[in-house]
Formats: sequence, structure tokens, C-alpha cells
Amino acid sequence: MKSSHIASLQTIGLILFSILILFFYSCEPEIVTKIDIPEEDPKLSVSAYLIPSDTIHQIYIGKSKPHNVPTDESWEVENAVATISDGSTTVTLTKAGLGYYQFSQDDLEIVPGKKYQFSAYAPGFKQSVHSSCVVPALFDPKLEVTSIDTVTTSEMTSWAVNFKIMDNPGTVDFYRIVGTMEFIDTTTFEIIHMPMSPAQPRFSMFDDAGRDGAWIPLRFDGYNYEWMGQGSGLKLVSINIDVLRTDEPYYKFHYPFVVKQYYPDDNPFTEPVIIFSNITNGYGVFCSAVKKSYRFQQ
Amino acid sequence: MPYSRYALYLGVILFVSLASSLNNPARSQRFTISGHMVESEGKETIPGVNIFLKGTSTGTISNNYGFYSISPMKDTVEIVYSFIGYAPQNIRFFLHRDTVIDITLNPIRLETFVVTAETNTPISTENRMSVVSVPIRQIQEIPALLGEKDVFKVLQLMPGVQSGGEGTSGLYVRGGGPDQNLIILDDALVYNAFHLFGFFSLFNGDALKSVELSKGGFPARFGGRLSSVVEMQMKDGSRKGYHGEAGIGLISSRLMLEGPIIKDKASFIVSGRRTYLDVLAKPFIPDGISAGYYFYDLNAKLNYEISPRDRVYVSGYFGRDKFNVGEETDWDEFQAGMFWQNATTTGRWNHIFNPRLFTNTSLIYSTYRFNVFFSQFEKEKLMLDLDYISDIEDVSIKSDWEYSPTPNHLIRAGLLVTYHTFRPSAVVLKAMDIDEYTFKVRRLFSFENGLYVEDELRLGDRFKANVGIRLSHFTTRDKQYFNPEPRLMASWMLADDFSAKLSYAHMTQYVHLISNSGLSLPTDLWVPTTENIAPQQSQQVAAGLAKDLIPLGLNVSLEGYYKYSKNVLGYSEGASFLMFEDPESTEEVKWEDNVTQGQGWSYGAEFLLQRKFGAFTGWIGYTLSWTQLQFDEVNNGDKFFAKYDRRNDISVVGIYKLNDKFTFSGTWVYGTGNAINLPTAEYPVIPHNAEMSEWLNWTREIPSYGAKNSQRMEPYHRMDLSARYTKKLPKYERTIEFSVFNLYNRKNPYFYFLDQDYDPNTGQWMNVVKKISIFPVIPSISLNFKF
Repeated sequence: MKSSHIASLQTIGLILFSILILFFYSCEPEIVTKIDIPEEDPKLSVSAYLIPSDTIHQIYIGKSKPHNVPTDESWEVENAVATISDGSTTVTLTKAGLGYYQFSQDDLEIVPGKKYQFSAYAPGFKQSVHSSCVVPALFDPKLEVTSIDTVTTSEMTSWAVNFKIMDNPGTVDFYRIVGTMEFIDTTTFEIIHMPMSPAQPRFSMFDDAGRDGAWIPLRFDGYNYEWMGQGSGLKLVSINIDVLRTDEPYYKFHYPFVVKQYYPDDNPFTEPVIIFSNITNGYGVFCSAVKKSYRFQQ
Repeated sequence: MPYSRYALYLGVILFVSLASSLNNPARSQRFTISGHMVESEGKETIPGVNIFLKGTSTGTISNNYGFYSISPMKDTVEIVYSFIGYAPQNIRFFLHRDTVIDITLNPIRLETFVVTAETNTPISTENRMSVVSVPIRQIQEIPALLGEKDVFKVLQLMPGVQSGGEGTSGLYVRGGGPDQNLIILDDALVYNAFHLFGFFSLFNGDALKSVELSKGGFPARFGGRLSSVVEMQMKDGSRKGYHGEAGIGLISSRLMLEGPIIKDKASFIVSGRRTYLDVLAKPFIPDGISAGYYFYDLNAKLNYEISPRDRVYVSGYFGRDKFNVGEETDWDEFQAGMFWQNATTTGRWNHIFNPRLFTNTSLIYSTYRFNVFFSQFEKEKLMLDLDYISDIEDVSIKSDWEYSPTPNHLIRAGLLVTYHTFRPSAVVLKAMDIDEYTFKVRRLFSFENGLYVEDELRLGDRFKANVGIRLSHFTTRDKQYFNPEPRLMASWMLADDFSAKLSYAHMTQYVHLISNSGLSLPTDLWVPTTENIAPQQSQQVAAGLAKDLIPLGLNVSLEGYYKYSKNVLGYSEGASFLMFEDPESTEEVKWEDNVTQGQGWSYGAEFLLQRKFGAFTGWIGYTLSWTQLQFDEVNNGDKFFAKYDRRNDISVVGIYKLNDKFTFSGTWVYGTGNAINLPTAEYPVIPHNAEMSEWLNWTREIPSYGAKNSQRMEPYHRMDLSARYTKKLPKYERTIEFSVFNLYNRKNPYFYFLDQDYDPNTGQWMNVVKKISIFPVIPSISLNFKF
């Protein structure tokens, strides 16, 4: 092919490519004013978890920012008045830091099987918020460790702990499982706790649908982090497993965070996540769980 | 069980109708006229030709292979053969024995055509409803994005059919999703029918003979999807001489060649298309960097007439999209990209046992594969090599039988057996610090079977019906599903050119598409029904009126429909299906945890005014519709409008053929904006830190969306125009087409997102909604040759 022909083809290619690039100039974002987004007033947002074994109960209260409110306002509510009641005793929570409010078990005992009501209001908000929950009944599930597999390399030691718990028959149950490993530093004799990870995300939170009263097999993995320089001289003392029996609001609210590892992003093509809430006139959750701890000495 | 009762009723109906037709005393004395419909230019067979006894409403239509069979009640008859774009033929017969006659139809110059009752393919007398048939010639004349003619984009201009979004080819039919369309090319099922992330469909109009879309009233011979059937037949190839077509467009070029292998016995057709964006972009990419995107597709077909009673066809399609990017320096190198490809192969054998009994047997292979790759080297040493694969493979055998014992009955029966192999995802990872990590989701194998029988029957002069039943069966691991699917289509002639129609269809879908993007992306996974995922099912009732305005050459139809679906597949909130970042966390058959099943309701009305021939052709379509979904796990269990719920949808299409040289065409579309979610507020929460985990100890700013899909995009509207100039030269014909997409530069939204902008008046940052539009006014030019 003659060089002039090649030059002509290159010119045509350049023109076509330039036209294509020009055509797609409108990918530049444009502000839209024709979308009818409902306007709403700021609301209180509550994060409250009642666990009978806790001695201090902390509750976080923040506020929502409607889309028409400046984004640089703070999230926390500093002047809220929050109360919790078991029907006969009502306590007003005290401030415990920016957005945090608390009461102690001495002020109001959180008892398994009992119903609690929560309410809060703050100046500047049109509506107070309220909610209630029933703390799950105490339970004592059977838990058996079926195997502990240890793998040691030059960089670290890892443990795979296979265990199973027996679901309580005849009830609808929701579970959250937490695993930790307790080490002792053989040099300083300091006790160190390291979290274990579920082998699959759904091992850390699940319900008993379809397996009522059955053994539920689980696996958690842990490492001594020697490869990071933190585990040198660490000796495993125990494997600790906490089984939380939660109420339904706790389960529904946490499932996206714990199992789906949800974190809000801007991807316009993914299905939006609607986070569960049981707060009337507001956002967030008021919920509860009871905890049973197991310790396997090594 | 109600289904078995339906099956019993329909079985009884079919048995009675078959028995009555066989017991008719006149049957033994009646003779049959049968044969193939062929066109004069290339001897291609013509499906869908109207064949009727003059002066009556008795008739039939040629099947997909151009075969027809009719057994008149009288000895002396005049038969009219008519088809859009061809001169009708009237032939008188004196029947004293069974007669085989192949009828050749000649194309005509449309602008000089005189509209008569015989040539205006009437819709009032058709025993079908909710069917859209677009002549291939019309598809070539309608303006298209970047000049790329697209069958699916033309179908989107019909009432009851919508696109999912700006520029995309996905079909949303009567509230159904794009996975609920049965897309068949020469009997082979096509899974991912799109190029370039859904902007173009796979199907190259040069290779197609016919395209037909059914939105409801499905005959029993179709099954496996809930919402529509798109049936396409590839051209057979000219038996008379060698011909070709070529086209050069803004982003692609194409070439089609056809001709006889053995004159009047065997022929071939080959058609290909390839984009050259990658080639055009190459000079502008710096040294050491590689990047590009292309797609191509290839259609090929052979046919051979072994004897007057036997014909065989072998056809195939192969198409591939590839996107890649890479960089190479003295020290390191990386290559990344993805490709996705479809392939189908169909072998078919037509056999005519006798003039009343026609059979076709097909052996079909279809596959779709998606692959993502990434590799990194340092000084030629492999650092990382990742392959993500998902694919589906089908092998099917199909047998269809057509028996026309009397003019009042056309009985079809058949069987389809498909062996599916699914691999929803597999990851192979090699890295410097691990030898090789292979994660493979277990392959899933299943059989999908369908057995059907239907009778196209006539009772008197005014009533016609198609009554049928399909028995579908699906096996997966240890579970089997069996579903009877009754079908009914009936029409009643209220006058010679006016009819009322009614249809009912029960459909079952065993294969599902998982996607959380709402787009037709190659990352979408095809997955089977399993023990945990039940088949999707729908029941649709449609009623309508059809009127032919013969002097004007117009057809008018009005249809209303109601569709209820159950076990509809939805995506769990926040679901994601690709796990590139941490393949080890991908569980086996994880997709089952990411989906949820619920119910769907679609209802609406469709109006169509259409003129199919003459100098001025086109249509006006209007759809009023509602589509709602409900899933226990989504939107707190409340009903919500589907993303593609569209209250009003209008399309106007006009094609004006000024003379042999100039053709002008234009389209205008309007649609209510898609239902979307935009956050109305954000609020902070801190999850319970039961695990002493830093991950859970943060304050999360959660968007509050209110009710799901409670907001709307701006309405979509757009006008396209095109002008074609054709010049006939001694050895070839040349056509130059100039078209403008989105003439008035409407900035239709592709998607919206929330952003923050600084407000200088208040000195504060504010949330704002922004939109991305991708297609402004786009002129294009293309050059086509026919030789």
C-alpha cells in the first residue's frame, strides 16, 4: 500500500476517533433540579443495645441530615434527654461523651425476658423518638468443639476451630457468634486478646430457619500475628467463644454490617441497602441480646 | 391440585378436537395442497406467508421453514398467497389428488402497490395477539445509534416493550425483566444477547430473515421464559447466484456473502461484523500502554435439499466482546481485561412424511462464557495471575411435528430436551507467595424438558382458537420440578375486518439471570433453579380488539393485559456477585444467598396504529402500564414499583420512500422516567461492637431512601432522523445513509448520584443530585453496498 494511502487512512481514523470523543462530551455530570426528592425534618438516630451482662449500658444518639441541610453540620446530638423504663422504673440517661448517653445496671437492671421502653427528645427536633424491645430469655445451648487444626509456618501460627452449637428447639432464634483467642506474652506476661474471624461471614450471624433444634456447624479462624512482629513469644492460653442470642431487631439491623460487610458507597448500579429501624419518628435501633461465654483452655 | 385439573381439561379438549378431525367422514375424500413458499430473487423460503381460500376466512400461514399445508373442503378452490413486500399470487386448483406446489413470490415496488384486502396482511383475521413482527427491511431503514442497525432497538419502539435505560438494547416486555425473554436464533437459545455492555444487540440484520416478538398469548410450543419470545430465523442463502452486502459505519464494518453450493439444491450464507474502536484509538495510546475494546460476530448457515421431502440446515453464530488494558515497562508488566462470548450451533432436518405431516428435528448447542483476567510480572517473574470465569453450556434435542388433518385443525406437538451445565463462577489465582489457589464453584447440571401439544382450530367462520398445553420438567441435583402450562388463544370475528381476541398463558422459567446492576452487563450470572430457588412462574391474561382499515392500509389494535408472577427473582439489598478483592471469601453457590424470591404484578393497555406497506409506513404506539414487585426481604416486605415501571410510553415511527433513490425516516419516543432510589437523608449509627472489632466501632453514615423506588428519573424523550440515498449501478447498489441520533440534544439521564457542592452564598457544602447523560446529539454516516 502506498504511503499516501496509509496517511489517508490514518487521517480518516483520526477524524472518526475525534468525532467519537466529541460525541461523548456530555458524560460530564450535570446538576439536576427536576427530581422530586421529598423534604424531611432532621430526626434523632439511636444506636442502643441492651445486654444483661454489661454493667454500663451506653447509647449513641445522633441526628439525620436531610438532603437539603448543609453537610458540614455535626452528626452528634449533645443535648438529648433520653429515658429507659421497664414499666415500673424509669431512668434518665446521663451524658457520657459526644453523642453518648449511659446508665448503669444499678440504675435499672436489664433482665432477660423483660420488656423495656426507650424514648428521647432534643431541642430543635420536631418529634421525640421512642421504641421498645424484649430482652431474649436466658439460654444455655450445647456447644462442642469438634476439632482445632493448627498450622505453623515460619511466619505465623494459625488455628481453625471447628465447633457446633445446638439450637433451642421450638423457638425462633437469632444468633451472633464472636470468637477471640487469649494469648500470654511469654516475655512480659501480658494477656493479649485477638479476634477470630468466621470462615464464612454467615457463621457470625444467622437464624435457625430450617434447622430448629439442630446442631449448627461453624468454623472460626485465628492467627498469632507473628508475621507482623506482634506475636513473637505469644502463647495461646484459651479459645473463647461468645454466643449471643439476639432479638429480631438486633439481627435485622446488624445483618448487613456483620454478614454483608456493608459500607455505604456511591455505586448507582447496586441495589440500595435499606437498614432496618424500629425507632418511631427516627432512625436506628433499640434492641437486645443475652450472652453465653465458652472458654476452651489450651 | 389445580394444575393437574387444567392439564386434564386441556388434554380432553385436544383429544376431542383431534378425534373429531380424524373422524370427519369427509376427511378421507379430501385432498391436500402443500409445498414451500420461496422468494424469486434468491429462492429463500419465506415464513409467515398468509395462505387462504379466496372468499373465506379459511387459511393457514407458512411455518418457519416456509412449508404450508392446506386441505380445502371443496374440489375447486382459488388460493391466495400473500406476504408483505411481495406481489400476491392467486392460483386456482381442481383437486383430484394431493398436490405439492412450491409458490414463488416476487418482490414489488412498495410505493406503487395498490392496497387491497388480499395484500393488506390483516390482523383481524389472524389467530394471534400480542405479536410484533417487524420486516427486516424496515429495521434497516429506521435510524439507529451510531448507524448500527439493531433488531432489539426496533422492537423497543413497539408498545409493551421498553428499554432498560438510555441506549441499551435490553427488552422489558410487559413488566418482565430482560432475563425473562426467550431469545431464539434458529432454534438455539441465546443467553447474553448484547455487545458493548448492552448498547448493541448481538444480531446482525444482514443475516436475518425474520424477527418476531410475542408478548403474550404464547403457543404451547414455546416455554422456559415468563415474558416474551423473540424468535429469529437466519437467512438460508441464495440458491440462484452469488450475492453480497457490505457496510462501513462509524464504529464497525460488516460483510455478508451468500450463494449456491449446488444450484437449486444447496446454498450458504456467511455474515460478519467487527468494530474498530481499538484500531482507531491505537495511534493515541502512549508507547508501553495497551488498551482497547472490540466486538465481532459471525453468522454462517448451510442448507441442502436432499429430496423434495427432506432438507437439512446447519447454522451457527459466534460473537465475542473483549476489553483489555495493560502496561509494560523495563521492570514490570501487567495485563488486565475481560471478554465474553456467545456461540450457538444448530443442525436441523425437515422431513415431510406426507402433505399433511411435517416434522423438524434439531440438535442444538449453545454456550455463553464470561472471563476476567489480570496478570502482573516483575522482571518476567509472575507476581499475580487471576482468572475469573463464569459460563453456561446447553446441549438440546428438539422434535416438532405439524399435522393438518382438515382446514379446521392444525395440530402441533413436540419435545425439547436440554442438558444444561452451569458454572456460576470460578476463580483461579496464582501468585508469588502461593503456588496456585483454585476456587471453583461446583458445576451444576440439570435437564430441562418440555413436551407440548397444541391445536389451532376453527369453529365455524368466525371463531378460531389455539388450545394447548406444555408439560415442563426440570431436574436439579436431588429435586425435580414438574409443571403443566395451559395455553389458550381465541379470536372472534365481529365483522369482516374487526375481531375480538382473548389469551391466557401460564409460563414457567427454570433458568435465571442474576444481576444487581440493572444493566445488561456480562458480569450477570445465569443460574438454574435449585432445591432452594424455585422456578419463576407467571399467568397472563390479555384481551384485545383488532381492526383493519383496508382502504388506508392501516391496522389498529388495542390490548389490555394482566400478569401475575410468583417466585420472581430479586436481589437482596446490597447484593454483590463478584468477589475479586478476596476470592477466598467467595462461598460455594454464594449467589443463592444473594437472591430473594417474591411476587410481581403487571397490567396495562397498549395501542398500536400501524401501516406496513406503501410509500409511507410506520406506526404509532402507546402503552399505559404498571409494574409492581414484592419481596419479603426487600423494602420491609412492602410492594414497590419496579425500576422499569413506566406509566406512559409513546413511540412514533415514520418511513417515507420518496422514490427509488431517497428514503427518509424518523422516530420519536417518550417514556415516563424509571423508578429510582435517591437518599432523602443520611443518619449516623454505630453497630454493636460485640467483637471488639475496629470495623464495627465506626460511626456509619447511612443513607435513608424512604420507600424503595419511590422517586422518578426525568422523563425520557428523543428524536432520531435518517436519510438514505441509494444508487443502482450496473454491478452493484450503493446506499449512503446519514442519520442523527437525539436530534434536539435531549440530555436524558443515564443515572443519578448524590454529590456535595460548595454553596458560595451560604459558605456551606450542600448535597446535590447530579446526573450523567451519555448520548447527546450524535450524527453518523454509513456506506452500504449490495452486489
